[in-house]
Amino acid sequence: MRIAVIATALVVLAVSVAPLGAQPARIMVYSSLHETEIAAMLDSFTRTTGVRAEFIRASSGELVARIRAERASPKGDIHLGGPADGHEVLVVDGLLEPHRSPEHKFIGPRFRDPKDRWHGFYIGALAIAVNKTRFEREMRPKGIDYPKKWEDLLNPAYKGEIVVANPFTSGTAMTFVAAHVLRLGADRGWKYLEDLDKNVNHYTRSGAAPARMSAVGEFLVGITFGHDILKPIAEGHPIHIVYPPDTGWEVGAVSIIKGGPNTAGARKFIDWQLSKDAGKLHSDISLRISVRSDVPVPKGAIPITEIQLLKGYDLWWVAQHRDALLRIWDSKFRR
Amino acid sequence: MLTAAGLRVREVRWLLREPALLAVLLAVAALLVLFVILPVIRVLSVPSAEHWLQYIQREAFVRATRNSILMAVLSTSSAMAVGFLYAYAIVRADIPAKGLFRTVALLPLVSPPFVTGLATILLFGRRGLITHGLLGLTYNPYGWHGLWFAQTLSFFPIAYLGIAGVLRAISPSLELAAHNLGARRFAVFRTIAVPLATPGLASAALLVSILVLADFGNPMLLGGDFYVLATEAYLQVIGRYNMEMAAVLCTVLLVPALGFFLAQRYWIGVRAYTTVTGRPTGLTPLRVSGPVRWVLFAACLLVAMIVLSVYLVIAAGAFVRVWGVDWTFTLKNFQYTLFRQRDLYNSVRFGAMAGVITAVAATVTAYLTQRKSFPGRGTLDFLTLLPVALPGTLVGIGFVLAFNQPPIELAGTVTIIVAAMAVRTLPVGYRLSVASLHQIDTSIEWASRNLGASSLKTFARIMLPLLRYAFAGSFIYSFVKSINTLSAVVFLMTPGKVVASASILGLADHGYWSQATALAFSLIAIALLALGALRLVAGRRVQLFDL
Repeated sequence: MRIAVIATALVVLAVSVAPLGAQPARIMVYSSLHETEIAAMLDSFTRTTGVRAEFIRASSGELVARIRAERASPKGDIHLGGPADGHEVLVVDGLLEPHRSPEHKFIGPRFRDPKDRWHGFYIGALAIAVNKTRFEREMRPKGIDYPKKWEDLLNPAYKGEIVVANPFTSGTAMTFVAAHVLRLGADRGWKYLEDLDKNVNHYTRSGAAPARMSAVGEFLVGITFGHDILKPIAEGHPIHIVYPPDTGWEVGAVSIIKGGPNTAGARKFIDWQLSKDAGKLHSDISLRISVRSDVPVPKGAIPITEIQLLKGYDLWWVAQHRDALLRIWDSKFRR
Repeated sequence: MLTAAGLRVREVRWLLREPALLAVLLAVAALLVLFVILPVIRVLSVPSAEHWLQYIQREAFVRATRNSILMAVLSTSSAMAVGFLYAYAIVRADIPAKGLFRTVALLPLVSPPFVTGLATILLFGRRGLITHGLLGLTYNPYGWHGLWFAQTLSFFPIAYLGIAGVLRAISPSLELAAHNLGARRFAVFRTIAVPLATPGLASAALLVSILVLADFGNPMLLGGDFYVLATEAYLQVIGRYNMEMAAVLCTVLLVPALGFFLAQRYWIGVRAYTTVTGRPTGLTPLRVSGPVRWVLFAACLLVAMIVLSVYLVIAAGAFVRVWGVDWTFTLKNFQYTLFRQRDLYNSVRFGAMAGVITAVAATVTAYLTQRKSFPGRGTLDFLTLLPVALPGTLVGIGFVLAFNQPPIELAGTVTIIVAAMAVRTLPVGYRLSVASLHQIDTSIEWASRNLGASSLKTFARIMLPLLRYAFAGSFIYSFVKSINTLSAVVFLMTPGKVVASASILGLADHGYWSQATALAFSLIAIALLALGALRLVAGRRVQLFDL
């Protein structure tokens, strides 16, 4: 009996410790894309290049904070996904490694950092998800039509029925807040957000969560990037999607973290991620629109040309004013 | 006549005669200082006066503190009420189906605590099966009330365990005497059972309130804009990497937890009334009257049904396509579990490692404190039990602060995660070992020593075989708790070292309920398998949860 117990313990210990041994060169990926997407893409990357990859998922605001906090000894190689202004913030801090990729010639200059420290690979625009089933039952009888512009969401009928993310954790929400400040000017922009706040049930941690919450009818209205709404629609959820005029938008970017454990591998990753094949894979599973014109718009997605984007949205301005915007948001909306 | 100093000298001399024992003792002490004391000291020392000033001035922090206290008071009261009902019915009222009720109470103890939060959304949420599907209501579970409900369900089994222990320890003879002297049943309950049980009840209530205060998963899922200290600290770290502010919030959490721990150790522990009757009397406790018995039975049944529905919902959610929308049976949610099997594997691997470490450390430390005398024995006992009072968030943040830079750089290693898990489960493993040691007569050990064996040899050849069930028990307890833990580990994960409990919370947070429930289902299944294995090996000789 004693021998059996000891033997079992030793086996458990051996199994536990075994994988600690030889480790081939891997890249460490910090990503704010959806877990399923990251795993599928890294899998394909490893099969194409032979470089292994590990990832951790968090919202992009959380990743920016993490990369800043680890600046003394960076633990990550790649920052994948999230609005480019979150990457530009890290450029300002000097935490990103420039990389000149052969794929750059296929990507318009307004989609990447002029000094090659971040690289856009998709474009997204903010949209409103409305649960159709509930809307027809609860709103239509009151004579309310689907929202068409941002101001329509201020209708008191939506009280407690709107969800949107918290800009401290979510890049989506950062884009949302900045877009209204840029669209209406500081005074009217903050006023709009204050009025909207009366209808917001709560601010979620993850940017994409509102789409899911609206999809299952937990909440009537969710605000997030359009591609995150298209996915539940493709799965058959009853959602009406609205891209209001002058909506905020993002260039979704990828960048190399300076001084990470495997910068050589990270360079390979950027080249792979910006390639046509990877772009197509990413667009197909995520329904995000690639910045490459040779990657077809995936089925079920809406071409960016059909959306009326906010012309004044300036990601460099947003990156510069991020901390100030967060401070104001915090003072107004922390309940 | 031996003076205290003389005794001390003699203890040291004994110790020096056994260098192996001394080495083990020093190693245990060093590990405890490194992984228990150092992180706490770092958390206490990092914030400056400025940060404390901010804490007092910022309304959000004051509110989080108030919310934490409110939640602790509410949930502790309700968990204690339900726990008392449950315990009284099972121990005293001799209701039918006791075994079933005990097993149901076990479930929340062996699953991730936030499972009840997830189930609350699925059952009672705005599109919940019961509130919306059955009753047609749109109840908003995000906020203090939904959280209160989930916390009551999560923690009433702890209250039940404590209270049942207390009730069993009260000898029926006093109550019978009172009854024979003419007191009515309720008067007996009020004047005998309640006063005798009070210290034990207080200690159970303190334990529950520490757990509620420190819990992180449920407030994360259900809090909405209702932030408590644990979630606020998490936001400070994850959202802003403001470690100093997070440390302040953890310290605030630590104060009551440590206070309760010390009260338990030095006040309640001393005042506990044990009814000294010598040998068991063999008397059957005073029966409650028939109608009361049935009322208690009905109440227990209701509680058990709610708990069961939580787990049925997790199981059902794992097998339907989209909760609340499309109820078609599917296995595709488990495809995702297979897809993320790495996280499950990590949980099992880290949990097993933590289990081995906890079991070894607990057995050795218990042997040292119970059977050896040396200077600092009380301190060692204190340090081993101290992690009970440390909120998981504090352990996580303390580990980040203590081990993120040289001289001890453990960030991103398996070691730091496993150490955090082991530290959190050490106290219970230690208690199990101590209890087993009390059952082993010292004379066996003296015989071995008199025949010339060293302390170490005696331990290995005599004590270890006798302690094997306690060892197995500590291992399984630590394993089960470690695969479910979240609050400490969430700060320590790096790419490739993500654990399943964190992915479940992430998925649920994102609204991927089906995938979250499938993964939770798998994790609970693993925990139940481990407990089943223990039952096979040790039979009823080890009671992890004294049901």
